[in-house]
Amino acid sequence: MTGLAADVRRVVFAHPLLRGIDARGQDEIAAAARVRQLQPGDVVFRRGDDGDAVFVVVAGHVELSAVRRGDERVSVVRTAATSDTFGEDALLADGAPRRMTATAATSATIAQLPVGLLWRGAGRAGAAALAEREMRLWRRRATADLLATMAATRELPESERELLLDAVVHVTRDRGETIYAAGDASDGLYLVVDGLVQLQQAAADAIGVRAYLLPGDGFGDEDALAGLPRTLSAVAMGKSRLLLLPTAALRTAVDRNPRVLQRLRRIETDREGQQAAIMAEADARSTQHVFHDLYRMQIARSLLVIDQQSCVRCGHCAWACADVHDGVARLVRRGDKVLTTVGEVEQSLLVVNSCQHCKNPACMIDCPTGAIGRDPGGEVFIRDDLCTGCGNCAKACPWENIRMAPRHRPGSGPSATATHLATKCDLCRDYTGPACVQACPTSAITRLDPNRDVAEIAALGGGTAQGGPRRLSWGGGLVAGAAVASAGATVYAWRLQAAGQLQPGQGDGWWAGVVAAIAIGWLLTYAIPKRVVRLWLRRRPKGRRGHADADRSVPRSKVRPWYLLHLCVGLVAIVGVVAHAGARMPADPSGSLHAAFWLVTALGLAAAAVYRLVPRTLARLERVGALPEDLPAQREGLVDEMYRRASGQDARTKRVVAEVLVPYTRALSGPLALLLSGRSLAQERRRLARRIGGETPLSPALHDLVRTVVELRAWPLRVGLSGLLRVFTPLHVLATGLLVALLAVHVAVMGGGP
Amino acid sequence: MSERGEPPALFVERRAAGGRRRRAPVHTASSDEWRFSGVAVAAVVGALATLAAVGLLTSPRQLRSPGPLALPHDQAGLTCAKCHDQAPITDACVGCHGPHPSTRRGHAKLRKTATMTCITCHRVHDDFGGVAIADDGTVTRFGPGATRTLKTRAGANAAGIVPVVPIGACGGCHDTAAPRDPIARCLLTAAEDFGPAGPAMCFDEHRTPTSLEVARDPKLRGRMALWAVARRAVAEAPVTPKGLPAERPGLWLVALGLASSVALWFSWRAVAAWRRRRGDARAEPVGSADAAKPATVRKLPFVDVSTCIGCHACVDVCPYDVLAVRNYVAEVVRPDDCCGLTLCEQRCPNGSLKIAEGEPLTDRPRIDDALQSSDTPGVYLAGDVTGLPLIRNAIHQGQVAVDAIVASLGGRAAPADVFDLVIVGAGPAGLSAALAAQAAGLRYCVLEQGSVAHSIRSFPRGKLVFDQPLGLPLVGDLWLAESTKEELLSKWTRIVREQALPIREQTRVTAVGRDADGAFGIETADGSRLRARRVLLAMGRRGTPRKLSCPIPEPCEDRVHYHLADARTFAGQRVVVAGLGDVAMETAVALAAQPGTAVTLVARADDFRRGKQRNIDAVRRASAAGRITVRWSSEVTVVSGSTLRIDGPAPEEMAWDALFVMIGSIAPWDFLGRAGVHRAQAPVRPVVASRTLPIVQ
Repeated sequence: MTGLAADVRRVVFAHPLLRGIDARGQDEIAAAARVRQLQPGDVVFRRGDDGDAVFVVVAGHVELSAVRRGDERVSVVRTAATSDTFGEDALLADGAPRRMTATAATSATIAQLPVGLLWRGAGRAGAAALAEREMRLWRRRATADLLATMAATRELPESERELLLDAVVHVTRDRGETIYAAGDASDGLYLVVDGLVQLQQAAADAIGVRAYLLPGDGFGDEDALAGLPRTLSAVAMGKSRLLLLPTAALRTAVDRNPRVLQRLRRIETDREGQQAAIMAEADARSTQHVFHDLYRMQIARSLLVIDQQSCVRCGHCAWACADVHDGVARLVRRGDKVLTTVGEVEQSLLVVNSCQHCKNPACMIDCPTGAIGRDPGGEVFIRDDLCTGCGNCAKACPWENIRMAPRHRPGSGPSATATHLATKCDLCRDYTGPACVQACPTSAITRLDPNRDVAEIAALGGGTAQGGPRRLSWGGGLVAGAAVASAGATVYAWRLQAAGQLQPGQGDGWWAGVVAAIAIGWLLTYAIPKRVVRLWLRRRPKGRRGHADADRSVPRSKVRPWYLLHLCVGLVAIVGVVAHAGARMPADPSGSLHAAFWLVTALGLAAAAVYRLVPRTLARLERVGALPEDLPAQREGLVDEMYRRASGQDARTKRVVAEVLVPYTRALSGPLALLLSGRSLAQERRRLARRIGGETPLSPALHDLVRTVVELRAWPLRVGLSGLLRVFTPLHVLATGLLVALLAVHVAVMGGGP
Repeated sequence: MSERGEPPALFVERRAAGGRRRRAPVHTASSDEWRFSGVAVAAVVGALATLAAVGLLTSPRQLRSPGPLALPHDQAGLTCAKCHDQAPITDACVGCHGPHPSTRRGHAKLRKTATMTCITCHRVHDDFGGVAIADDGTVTRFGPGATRTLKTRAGANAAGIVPVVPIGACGGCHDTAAPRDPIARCLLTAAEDFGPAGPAMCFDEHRTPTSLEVARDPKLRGRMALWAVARRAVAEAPVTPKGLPAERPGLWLVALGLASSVALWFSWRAVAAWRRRRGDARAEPVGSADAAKPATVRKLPFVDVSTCIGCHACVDVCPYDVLAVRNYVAEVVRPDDCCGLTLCEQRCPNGSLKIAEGEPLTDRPRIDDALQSSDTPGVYLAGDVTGLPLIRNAIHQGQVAVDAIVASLGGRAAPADVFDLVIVGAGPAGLSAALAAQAAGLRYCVLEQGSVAHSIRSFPRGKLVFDQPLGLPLVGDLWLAESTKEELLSKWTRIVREQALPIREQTRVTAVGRDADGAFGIETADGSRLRARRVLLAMGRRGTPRKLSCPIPEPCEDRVHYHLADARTFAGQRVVVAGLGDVAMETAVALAAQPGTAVTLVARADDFRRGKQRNIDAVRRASAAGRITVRWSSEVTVVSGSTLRIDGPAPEEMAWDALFVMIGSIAPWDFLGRAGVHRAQAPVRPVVASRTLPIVQ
């Protein structure tokens, strides 16, 4: 429930901190705010939670408690009484973790105000100067805390620390922005407060990554102390906050406390050693490695990924999503492909375009009306009533996970005039689990927390991965067993038929027909779990919606068991039909029925076989995830890329392109050879590179060209295989229509005809 | 695994740079969402159609029979029970047909052991047939569910039915191929051509009547006459006619049913795709087609800060960075750069931004709605030169202008030495116009002083080309999408090559004048003169780059550049950039990013006065990092082979490798004036309908 009643509003805006906000700002804040009723002992937030709201106590008392520095026990820091505020630490940095725990001391009513809107309101109302001064103080305090938590500075005397606090400069860099470039004059030591920084070494066209720096890491001190220009470049991989200790202050600090730097150095060395091993492996796997967009992995709380080796590209996930969300799918099966280890299994994952519920959501910070919120479980959600359709969030999301879609219901408030609304994955808030995951017939799609489930990411942070793939382990065995049993039974029934011991109209033959008819009827019901998603998608209890279920586990696929049973029952139907009809194919509707059955069965078996065999091959041949409709444009892009890369190169490269690479892409049998060889793109690249340059490494330009032409060679295969994956199922369904009609005629006539 | 020495394989995503994009992604339904749409409907309709086909086309009696029923049995209304309720079935046959046992010796022997009954030969559920002779003498050959009227006619009073047994029915006992087998006598000549479906001709095999018998039983005479007719009939139509497919459901029913539901599904998909396209076109934010008309008055955005929510919608859509968000509200920061499109107003989600109209613009050529010069009819303008500086507009205008030209030419042919149209300039507008002229079948040529898309070619490497304004529909055949400069150029050059557009590069037009016969004469720098009935000026606004005031000695000329194509070629050189506009700043930053390049920026101003904020920030950062040296209040005054003299607060002679002169360009007003295109005079009067042109004979 959002919005503030008039009386609550009066109390809230009487607070000195909020009084300066103009009427419009107050309206906006009031619209996006939330009133919460607390019972004594209810926890508002815990230490370490994300801070993205400031609270005003409307009635009652809220206690703030923390372990004070030096203490062992938790003690009450202060009590916020009626019309007091608490949780101001959220004003410091977007989504900074809470330092204290807030608990209701009495039953209380509190108003929760989104931080972004407070800043906007204050900034617009001309309170910018005031806000800035406040901000400086807050920052200084926060920096002191930060420095205190660092082992390196623990040995600094208080006075030294104060000096550092005076000297540090706060630096904020957006995703992709350079902190410094190689060759720049060195300006000091940087400390990462928040975000992710990549140290790179540029060589010709390619950029080599030397290290990833996480919050708490320091870098750039060696150049600064030596007084040399930067040797490496530092780039922010995501929005990053840094502290810069200018060279002069750094020198002073180091001169006086040489051990500080030693400790800092040792941390860095440890980090580098840890990363070196991971990155050595990363190198071998090129652009598909999970480190390719490490920031994304780090910031994601719930990342939607599809295992490309078992995904049959049916798109049922997106369809189910659209079905649940007014016909607008909030996930698109496009995106980067990464090779990684989930649990202990090597997987080729497609990171689809779907909200990953960032720990530090750029969209939420950029929303001008506070329409984007986050519940304590970390779910980022959009309130349609507040969305003006301005598209700011959609532009801010670095991964295109927010899309503007035409609205379906009339809106109210600020949203009334918007024709388009921002839409993104809401983890199916109204239901107990996301529809996409539950609807997948092969359990290929799942939500995971990369920091917990992905081995490389967990290792980077110094931990080990916990999660494993969530799969039905008995699925394959069940179908294989059923296939063997059915094959045996079919052969037996065939022999009985051939011997004339089974007749369709009497005895066991007749019963076999009945069994087959029942099996066919049962097979039809597969359409229900498949297409009527809402039937099994359970609603979340109303009271629990939106909060207090952070531990909501990701459910398994609900459709997968049905799919497996569909296969098994289909095999039973085959036995029944053979036992009933044998090889009879009379030229009448019964014969048609028999023919239709084998048509449907052949299509179904073909689909199942293709589903089982093709994804593995396809995963080997694609570099990025793409929908079938993207493929023509991709080919055009690759051809363009090839010629563009070749232009302006030296004579040798051009000769290689003309004599080797272009014929390579045009060879008609090439794709077939690639398919039969079983090589992956990377292996094929290596093979081609050896063919061109022998053991000598390729120039960067040729390296890129080889990558492009190998993709070009794989392109026809991708088209063919994706087509194969998609062609059988619709035909299977269409033929089933005939089958059912003919079966109805058959049963009606044979059951009681003329 | 990886080759040693291979360049590191981790790359920074190109699109990661900047983080924010300028356009919000819009939902478009993917194939995942619609690929099964219509399948259920098609399946149900296909099923219903199959049911209908079964119901309409097959007789209910035939449904239960294990095979097709002979026509007379069907017509007689036999049910299964009629024959099958009696055991043995033969009793049922005899009940209707009377006893006609085969009297041949072999057959009689078999009959006694009950191995041979009526249905051994007369397989009524198989391709059983016969000959029917009507009272009027019409002879019909019938089979299961089918009849065929024959030419043979019978005499009067010979009505009756003669069953014809296919030879295959005898195959159980007889070897139909062996000449010594008794069956050989029953075979029609050349019966082997028909295989088992061929007829057994021994209708009389049950009894061979002797003359005595015939005399005793007068009916026999009639029967023999029947057999004679039957022999003629069978000779004419040896094989039992099979029922039409519509009367014999089988595989064809399945095939037809599946084909029809697949066809239905595909048409459903086609309709859905069409509706989706229409829906997408509607969902696309609307921009008015008026955007293609150059503004005649200055336009200025005004932001109501009391309602502005600071959402960046206007900032992101503005192609010229006129607006910026400060303190959470939008501000107009570079009013002079406003291009007069009203995209910002269209995009504002709550009407906080309004466009106000200011004083009339005077630096625009006077043109009418069809982009024809108001002063010299027959001369058309398109692209930047009209005052609308966007690629998409240029493409639009090129097409609009050629449409107008085609209409004004009215299909009359010109003399052989006179072109229908000469297009000056091969930029976006010129190329778009050339494609339109090609499609309209005009005799035309394109004159370009540099090379195709010269000004786009001079963009910095990798620069993103925006295809704004988004609302304007893209007409014509020229490709455009948000892409890098290189992608755009490679597409365009391919189009030029594939369409074989007649473009004369390196041909500068010096003058356009009208001849006595009404045609235009176009003079070029190489001295040739073309004649054309219409001229389209699509040469942009850049005109020619402004030169330094000091002379440049001839040997140095190839070290002096007016645009930067690829910064990589200047790696490791000492480069001087003169100017402080956006182009100069972008160039300096791009050059400074190259390893070992020393960049000096020579600016006449004493601080950043204009230019895009991101460029200013980049230069500031590079100069703070020591990668660019900025010389304020300075000018390059002397250029010599070895050194440049830079005058300013601290005059200096410096060694140089390359000099970039980026101090603006001279607008082509002189040229336009000589071609008869004049600037608008304030206030702009409404344009009167253009005069009729003398027609070139």
